[in-house]
Amino acid sequence: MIINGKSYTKKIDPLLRLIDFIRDEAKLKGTKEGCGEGECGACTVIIDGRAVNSCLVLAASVNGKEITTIEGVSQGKLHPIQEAFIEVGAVQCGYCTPGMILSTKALLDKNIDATEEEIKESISGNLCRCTGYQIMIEGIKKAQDKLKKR
Amino acid sequence: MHVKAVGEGFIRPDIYEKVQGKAKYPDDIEMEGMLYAGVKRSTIPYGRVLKTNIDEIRQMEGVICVIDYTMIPGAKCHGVILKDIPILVQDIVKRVGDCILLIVAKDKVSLKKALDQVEVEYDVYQGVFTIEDALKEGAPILGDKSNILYDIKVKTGDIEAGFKEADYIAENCYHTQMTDHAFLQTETAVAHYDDEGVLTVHVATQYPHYDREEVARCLNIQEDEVKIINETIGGAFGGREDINPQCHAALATFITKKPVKVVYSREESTISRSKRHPMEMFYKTGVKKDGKLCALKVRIYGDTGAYASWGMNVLRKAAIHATGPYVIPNVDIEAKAVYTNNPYCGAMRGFGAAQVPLAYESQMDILAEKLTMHPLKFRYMNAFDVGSQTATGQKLKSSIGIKKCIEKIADVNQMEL
Amino acid sequence: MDFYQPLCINEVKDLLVQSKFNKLLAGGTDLVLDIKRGKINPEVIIDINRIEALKDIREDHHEISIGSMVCFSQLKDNSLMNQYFHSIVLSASHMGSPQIRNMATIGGNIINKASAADIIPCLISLNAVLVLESKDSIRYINLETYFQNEDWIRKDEILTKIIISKKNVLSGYNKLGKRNSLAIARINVAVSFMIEDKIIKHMSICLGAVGRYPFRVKELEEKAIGKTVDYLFSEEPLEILEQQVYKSIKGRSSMPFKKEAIKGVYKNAVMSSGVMK
Ligand SMILES: Cc1cc2nc3c(=O)[nH]c(=O)nc-3n(C[C@H](O)[C@H](O)[C@H](O)COP(=O)(O)OP(=O)(O)OC[C@H]3O[C@@H](n4cnc5c(N)ncnc54)[C@H](O)[C@@H]3O)c2cc1C
Ligand code: FES
Ligand code: FES
Repeated sequence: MIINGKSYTKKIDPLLRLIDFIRDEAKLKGTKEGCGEGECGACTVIIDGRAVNSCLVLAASVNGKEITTIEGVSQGKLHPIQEAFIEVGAVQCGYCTPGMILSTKALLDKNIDATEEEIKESISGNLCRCTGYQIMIEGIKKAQDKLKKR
Repeated sequence: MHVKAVGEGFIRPDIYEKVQGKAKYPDDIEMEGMLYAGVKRSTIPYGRVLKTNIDEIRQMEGVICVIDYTMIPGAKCHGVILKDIPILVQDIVKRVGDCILLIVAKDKVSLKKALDQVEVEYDVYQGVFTIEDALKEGAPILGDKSNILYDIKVKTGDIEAGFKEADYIAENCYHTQMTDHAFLQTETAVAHYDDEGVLTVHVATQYPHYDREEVARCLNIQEDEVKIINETIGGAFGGREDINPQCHAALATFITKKPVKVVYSREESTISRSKRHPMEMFYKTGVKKDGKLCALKVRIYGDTGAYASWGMNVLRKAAIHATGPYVIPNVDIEAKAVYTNNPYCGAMRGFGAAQVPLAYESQMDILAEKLTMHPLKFRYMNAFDVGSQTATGQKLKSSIGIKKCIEKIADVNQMEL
Repeated sequence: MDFYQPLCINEVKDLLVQSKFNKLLAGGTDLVLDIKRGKINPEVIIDINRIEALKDIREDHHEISIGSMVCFSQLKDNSLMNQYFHSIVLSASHMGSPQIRNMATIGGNIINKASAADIIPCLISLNAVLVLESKDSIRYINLETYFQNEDWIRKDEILTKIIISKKNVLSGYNKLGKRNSLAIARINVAVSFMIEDKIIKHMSICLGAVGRYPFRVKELEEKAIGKTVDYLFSEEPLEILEQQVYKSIKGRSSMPFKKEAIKGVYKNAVMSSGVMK
């Protein structure tokens, strides 16, 4: 499979979850496990432009596909979403942050003009126990401005 | 005094790593030759362990060793105040989630297989699961001689005279539920010997210094032979005050001499960790016709679960805050922390001060209605101010914002106070 | 453990006749967790994610057919669904989370047959038909019959599509969950109507999460025929529903709550169908 543009070839157990492949085989530790059951979104990655929970995907099933993890969001320099999250301070413990940023990216890549309702909807599968979400919505709006100016 | 940081918008230094997924949480650490450890926990709330198939587990493929309480070189229990939580039980289990065996395996898969294979035979006892049952005559004793861990009284004025003065009285019972911190990063620890031979534990914790003390006690070594490294913390909210995987990881490394990682699943995290105390709060509040509070009698019972943790501090805080931010001249408060076979309760945001507002604020609304007075106005009349004295006798000298806050609310709502 | 990734349906059928304990892998949102929790332990996994033919939504003169591998995000955004089946769009939008909707498929939801599944009441109320194919047979089964007769999919079969008639119907859906997102339905109700001049010509209502499987309330459907739409908000339908829920889950602790709550969920479902317009 191809993660952040880099190709990985490996013989694996068919039951290996994508999150385990990413963390243990590809050694990319930015993807987090919070529940392992599809409930929290900490493990969110983008496959074919869509956000999915990597804890519910079998690695074997996405063989050959392109996967984006948090490490692939900032290629060389910070992505506008990351800059915006920094500027508004949308991060506390940070454990939900990678998943949150990927859900945001999946949304804005498709729909840069997303409304507040659509923004809320897009991160509704990402649990944050620290912030209370409002600050993230602000961050995402700021990211929209930045991306539009680019 | 002017403090430069207050009121300024600063960018937190850790945010750069966090938005890039580079921040290092304990589970992100890998080491050469690292083993995986995990504990078999009790599935019953109260009873005695009669037998386990430990010998069979020791023979399983991929299992490096299986540790029981006899192999702990030092203290068998830990705890922030009382040392009562077994690192591994001798035989009595007091809650679902007590630790029975610690298994060390060569990888995650072998560990899971081994944990699934453990069989435990119990003599199951009848436990107590409500405060009422725990306080009944003849209830099994879970604490030291009684089921009352802690009992505090706060009294001021003359309670009987106070109620005699009252024109209206509200008397009600309030109940709050148990809550879990559910921080997003589950408990994880990595232990190993560093280059200088110091046993080092990487963990996300609220108290590295307590952890060091507990690990040293457990292994019967000096504190300077232990190092605790606090990695990035994935939320805590009070839930990382008690020891969780620290001693287990350290013990496994101490015995195998290898780096060892312990990772909790969400399920184990929820079962094992302390909770917010559910409380039963009996409130009787008296008020005079003019709207001045005159008497308050409160009885609070906190279900502290199977172990002490911070139970006493939490109930103390509940008692101290039981009046709310209101001046009441005659007060009689009692708060008790009561043992049961439920999950143990300890620190969680607010620490006992979060439960009582349900009771005292509801009382305020009920009394305002009886007085036919606007609830905001009623609160304003009774609120603390500089110079007020609390039920515990504390004279308030500064930073009393409640009246100002109520004034703002009234302003927004364009009402007279 | 063997893992196959066939590219066409015939290949799947061939694999399914082999005698081993096999499981089809669709979105995996049920299956991966079942395996992880040790509930099932298949010898063979047949991953059907690469079969493009199962991912289409097609229209012909009379009906629309939905491929079994269509995921909930697709249902929610699809123009045909938005044009014809409002209830499906509503239920797809309220299912799981964005991530779950990107993975979870309509086929997996049906085959998993959870009592609280979101889309099944909609499909039953729209009289949907399943197409189950094996190496040597094709079966067309009405979804309601599938549940009523517990006539489950056979081990050698694959659900290929779901067919719904395009007859001009109004449809609506409502779900009561414990929170907004990622909530399994505590109760859900799907309705569909044919209305002429404010008179109900046909009504179909299906309740979910108040019994082992979703079921229709025939008594209400029959009584509604010939009445004006105002009838739907009168006391009688509410009493019928309360009785139905009471009968269906009598012994359960959730019954007292659900027999009241059904009324609100029903009203919302009817409102969402647009019958009042
Ligand atoms: C966090 C979370 C939230 C959820 N929320 C909801 C919710 O709100 N509402 C709801 O209804 N469900 C919910 N679910 C359940 C689940 O997502 C759905 O049931 C989903 O539709 C299952 O589809 P899938 O494609 O993931 O199926 P899979 O898990 O791939 O398969 C499920 C079963 O169906 C079989 N199967 C799949 N496709 C076929 C086929 N074409 N032919 C024959 N057999 C097949 C599989 O072999 C397996 O036995 C949730 C699940 C999770 C993890
Ligand atoms: S870890 Fe995958 S959703 Fe929580
Ligand atoms: S910042 Fe801690 S969970 Fe979101």
